[in-house]
Amino acid sequence: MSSLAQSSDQTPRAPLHAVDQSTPQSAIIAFELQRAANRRRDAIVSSLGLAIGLGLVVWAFHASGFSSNTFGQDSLEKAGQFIFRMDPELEGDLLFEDRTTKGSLAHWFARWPQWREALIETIEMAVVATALSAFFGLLAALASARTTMPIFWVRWTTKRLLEAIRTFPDLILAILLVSLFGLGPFAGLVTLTISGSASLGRFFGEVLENIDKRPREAMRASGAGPLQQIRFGIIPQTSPVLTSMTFLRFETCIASATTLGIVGAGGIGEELNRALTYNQIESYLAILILIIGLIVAADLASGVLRARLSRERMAR
Amino acid sequence: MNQTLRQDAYAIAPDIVRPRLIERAKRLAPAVVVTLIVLLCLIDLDLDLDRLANWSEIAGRMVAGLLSPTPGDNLEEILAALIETMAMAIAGTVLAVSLALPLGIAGSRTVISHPLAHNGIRFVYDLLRAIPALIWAIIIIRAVGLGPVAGVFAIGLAEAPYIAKLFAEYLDNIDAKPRNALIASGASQFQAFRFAILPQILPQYVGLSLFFFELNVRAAAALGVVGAGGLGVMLEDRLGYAAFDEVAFMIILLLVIVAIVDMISSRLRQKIMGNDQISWG
Amino acid sequence: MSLKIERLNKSFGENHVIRDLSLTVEAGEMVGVIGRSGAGKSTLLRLINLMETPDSGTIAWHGNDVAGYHGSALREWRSQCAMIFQDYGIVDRLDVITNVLAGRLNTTSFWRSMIKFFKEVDRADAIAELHNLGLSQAALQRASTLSGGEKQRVAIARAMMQGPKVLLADEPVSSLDPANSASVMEALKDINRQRNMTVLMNIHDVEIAKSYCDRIIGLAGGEVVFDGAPAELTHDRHAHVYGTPQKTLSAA
Repeated sequence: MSSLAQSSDQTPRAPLHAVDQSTPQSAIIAFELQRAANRRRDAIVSSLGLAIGLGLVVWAFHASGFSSNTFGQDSLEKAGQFIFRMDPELEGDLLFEDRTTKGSLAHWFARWPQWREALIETIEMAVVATALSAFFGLLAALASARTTMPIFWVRWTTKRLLEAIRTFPDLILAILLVSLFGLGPFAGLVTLTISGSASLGRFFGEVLENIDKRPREAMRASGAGPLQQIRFGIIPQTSPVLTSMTFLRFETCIASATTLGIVGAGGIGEELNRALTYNQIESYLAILILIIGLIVAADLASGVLRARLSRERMAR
Repeated sequence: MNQTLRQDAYAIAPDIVRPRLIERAKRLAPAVVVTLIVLLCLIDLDLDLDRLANWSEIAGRMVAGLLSPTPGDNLEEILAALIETMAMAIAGTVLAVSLALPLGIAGSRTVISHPLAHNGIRFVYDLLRAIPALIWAIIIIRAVGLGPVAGVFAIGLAEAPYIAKLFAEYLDNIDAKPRNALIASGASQFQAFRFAILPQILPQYVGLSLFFFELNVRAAAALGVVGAGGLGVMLEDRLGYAAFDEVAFMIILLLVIVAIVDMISSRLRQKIMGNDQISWG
Repeated sequence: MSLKIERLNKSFGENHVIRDLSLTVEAGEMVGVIGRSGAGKSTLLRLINLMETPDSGTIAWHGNDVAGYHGSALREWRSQCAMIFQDYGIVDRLDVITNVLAGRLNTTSFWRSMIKFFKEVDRADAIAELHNLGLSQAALQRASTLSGGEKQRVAIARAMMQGPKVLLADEPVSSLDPANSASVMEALKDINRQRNMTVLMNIHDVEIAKSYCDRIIGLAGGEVVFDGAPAELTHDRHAHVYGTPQKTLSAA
């Protein structure tokens, strides 16, 4: 991309010290020679880079099926139709009629009781998974931080394991666990717990590695054992940060929980799937609105709590 | 110890002096409430553990399969799917970045400075960011049919507001002094942008795009599960036949590819961005 | 040739920063402006360069009032009175030569600046300027590899590329240690002597101002409260510039 064309000002160059710089004229000649050499090299590098980059992009779009026959008039039409069918056809004057009247809000949200249950299930999955993630994440962090785990190979193994789990997309984990545990929220709960533990384990571990060592030293000096040192010398000073990270994870968890249902792992995503299977496209839009609302609400709630937490920490 | 002395000592060193019951309860209250909420959620979830009774039998087959990864007879298909996933990740990143570029510039305080308009734009980005890529994928599959095109659009649309927000923040946080110096030397607005702002933001933008490309390799693999092309489609298919050995092969392949992509990309980022780190504003 | 400022005024909201200020600087003078922070030193330089628009008054160069300039005439005037800043204003990610060449943007076409391709004569001038300042061997390095004093000298080279009639310097050595600040002040003094360049600079360190400038101007509350040779700046007058209670109060 164009960054490669910029590379002439990116790398430090061979210095001009070696060349005669005694007069302005000789300095100019030395500079022009060096500049010409640099430009020759840059021209090769940047035209090669540009060719490779452009080639990759063109290839990527072609290989993804962006050619005129699969992606043309027809698909635009289909897209238009789909969007058109998402319209719930609300009528201004019937807006607040009961659910039997087509064009009213109640008709559009006729399956609300079912959706409400699914929303609650989503929230419950996220809450329980976040709590479990915090617990297992803390264990993993204690096992992977230099300050709390003296044995090298335990730290190393834990860190590599956490890395491997984080590489895994939630959804792929979810389909594996659905085939293991069957349809339903249990598979979703385990998915969210595994990925949450790996993520929190890493962040918690970073916090534990960057603590103030003095309180713990004082504990040790007064004869506290290793577990007491961790309980009273490390946990108190890190707990506000860890709590705040847990709330952040809750936001991610909610967003993830809304989608897991699509592969049958519980929550509002299942309703989304159902709406598509039975071709209830206007329900689809309603569920989408609920999902966005849930995610935004979770972000706001967690944001408020985190702000309060950091205020309390400041006040101390 | 008498009561006042105890209170004084508590005020000085609350962690050491054993506080009175009511104070301890007050401090423990948030933890108790949170625990209760979690327990209530757990009970209400109705996990139906009876149905899991026969899971150990499946688990046995699964572990056995996962421990003996093999491509089966589908090596060529798997590799083709992997290449398709990579193509989706590249095309999706390019689409997301090209959408995010104008959006990011529009979201910058230096471009649209009116606070109401600025906050309004940012709010819209935040709303759009709430839609996960998977949900985009399902909508788009409806529109353009099953296949990688849907995945590319899903990645592009889901990430554009994300990247736009970060682009805008970078633009708002650059060093303004070189630009002012060039304006003071009689350069035009465009020239000042070209010589003072572009050299600052371009490496950051390219680095950020590479970072999102790394994430998108994972995302592209996941999107296949709902039919948006690539390795995920194969994965879902083989899992349907309980071919755990082939699933294991694909997963290992994915992990290796992700590791390689991360390594190359983070080297490139290091080279382009120098010591600047990606910050999540 | 002279810079003649008459009855200049500038306010930011309630804050009257420059009050009825009149001042004449002859060609080839090296003038140091001293005063407390908030006395209006920076605003004065920014007004001369027209980075700020004066509320009233004239700024005349060679008899032409420049205060009302806009568009290309404004940019032309800005390129003629080059400005140097406390924090250099150079781009760390660009190499030294490109930073210096940026001083020629005013006379560089849109297309050339877009592809960053300057004329050979511009490049030669840039190297010659860098050579004058002892930095020609660093031309192809990234600016981020330079020390603070070297960066400020690159900024001076960039200013010289503008072919200026006046050089304005806003606290050019405030961010520098003594050795680096001496190298920058020597460079400014050389330019003043060898090219008969008019130099007007803000300096908060009075000792530096006295040892390098021909003339000292003291500002307080946006007015000139001292104007004379460094030797005339006695202890009492120094206190007058920095400590006069009514003046500083009214400035605040």
